[in-house]
Amino acid sequence: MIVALMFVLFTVLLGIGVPIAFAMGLSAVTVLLIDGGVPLLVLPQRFFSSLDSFPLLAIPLYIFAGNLMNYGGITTAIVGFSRSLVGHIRGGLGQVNILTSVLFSGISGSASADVAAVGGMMIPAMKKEGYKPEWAVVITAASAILGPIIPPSLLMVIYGAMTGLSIGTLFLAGIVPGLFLAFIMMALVYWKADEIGAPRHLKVGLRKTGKVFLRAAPALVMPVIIVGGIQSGLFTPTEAGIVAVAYGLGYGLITHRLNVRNTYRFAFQSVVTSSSILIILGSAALFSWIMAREGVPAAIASALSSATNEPAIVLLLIVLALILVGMFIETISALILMVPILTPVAQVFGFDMIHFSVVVIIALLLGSLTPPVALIVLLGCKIAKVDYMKTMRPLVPFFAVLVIGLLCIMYFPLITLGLPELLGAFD
Amino acid sequence: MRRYLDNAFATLGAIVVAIFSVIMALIFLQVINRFILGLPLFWTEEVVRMLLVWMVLLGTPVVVYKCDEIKVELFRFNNRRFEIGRQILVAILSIIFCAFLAYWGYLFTLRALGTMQPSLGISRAWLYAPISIGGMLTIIAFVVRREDVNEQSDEEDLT
Repeated sequence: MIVALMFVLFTVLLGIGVPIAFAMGLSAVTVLLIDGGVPLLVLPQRFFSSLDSFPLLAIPLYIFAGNLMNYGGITTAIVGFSRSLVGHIRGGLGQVNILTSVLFSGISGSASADVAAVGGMMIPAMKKEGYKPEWAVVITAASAILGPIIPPSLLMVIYGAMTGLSIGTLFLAGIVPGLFLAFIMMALVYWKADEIGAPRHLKVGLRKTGKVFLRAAPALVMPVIIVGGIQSGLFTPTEAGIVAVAYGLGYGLITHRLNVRNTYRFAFQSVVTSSSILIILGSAALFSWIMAREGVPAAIASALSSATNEPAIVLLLIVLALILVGMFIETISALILMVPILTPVAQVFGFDMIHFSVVVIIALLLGSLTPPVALIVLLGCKIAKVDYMKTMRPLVPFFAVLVIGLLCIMYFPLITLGLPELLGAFD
Repeated sequence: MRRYLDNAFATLGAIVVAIFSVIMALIFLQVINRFILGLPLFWTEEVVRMLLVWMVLLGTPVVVYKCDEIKVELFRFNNRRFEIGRQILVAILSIIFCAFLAYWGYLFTLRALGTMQPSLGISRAWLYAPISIGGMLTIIAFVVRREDVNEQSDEEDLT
């Protein structure tokens, strides 16, 4: 009863536009006041304990490192390299856009950062070559969801910090699914090339490819430092973040683009972005605590098991619910809201937790591509100056392909677990 | 007046960046130490965690002042007066939560005054103080910030 009231309050507050952090906090505090039994000292206590976490520090560090690399000119280098690799394939710049997102994912951990950086360069270039702008927006937004799937990933850092799962193993588990989704999106662009309006480019010679590779190489090194460093036990994910920042600073100095003023600006932006994310984690703590106290996860698990005892169907229902939540709530907030509910449920049904978390993350990201609140599509529309409604039609095939991809990942756990197993992350 | 407020929040932003810099320096030291120096630096991780809480809670008022907080924008009123009313309502509701956070955070800090954090040799109150301070500063940010009421209609004019 209390929980139902809390959810209604939360939805109403969210609906009128109260920031997510305060909407969660206020609805939780209100039901505690009505319920009476619990002293409100639990609010600051929960708030503090959810933020008092070393892994969470990776968030500002990864954001900062990504900003530094982007400003140092790495995005231009990545686009050049992708162009020489796949620019001549049917679908031209569409393919380049997707490959750029894949490579950019290695230095950034969030989808909106991908749209801003990759879209900022690719959308104007695609428009100039005669691509339909709404397709350019959709290709950019759809491939941007690779950012938090391919490591480093802010979503995985938060997931790991909330559940105690190894962030390093989560990172490894995201690599193959990310590449797989990229591949099927490239296949879609290949198939739809005429509708998109894509001209073809000439094949670039081997020598030139080598040259642009050298310029883009720093971007390829960064995920290797982060994932390799964590996996080999050299650093924790947070320490890998500081190494990435040092690397980003070094890169900026070598390319002569960085000065004190810009470095400060990026540090400031990273802190502001991280605070706006982490304050949600603090406020959500009480919300999740009430749900656990009222036995919501157990109730959901027992309701599900009375409906079906087929784990495959349970997983499907969970994914549908996640896409629905992701449609309305921004991805990180949705993750913070859903993980405490779903983790006990997943344990009851015996899912592999690493596989399950990758599925959860991809499902939420799919939701974030879906209207009405498709934030990353909106961001792309702003760059392309395209009417949001026009993107609905090209969005359909991309969504369909990504859903098929997600189904494959859901029911062939080898896609997520193969690489970590191969590298001995479970030993 | 606006200029003073801008300066005040820019200063707060600079403090937060300074905290972030100290955090980075300490983690860097921790990495260097492990591979090269080998000093017994048991306190770095704890200091860094404490600073993270300070960073987030002092960063939040800056976020709110810049109107950068994460929210779901399902709708905006086209009527200017309704839209201002909605924004004021949102601010009031947010302020109520921040007031709870500030008040109970303050009591929580008071309770911790006497207890020591053994590894750092400081009162645990230092760990909890940012909750209350951040709550209060965020209330101020909500009161003094200026939201752009016309944003939506500007966009409509362009298309």
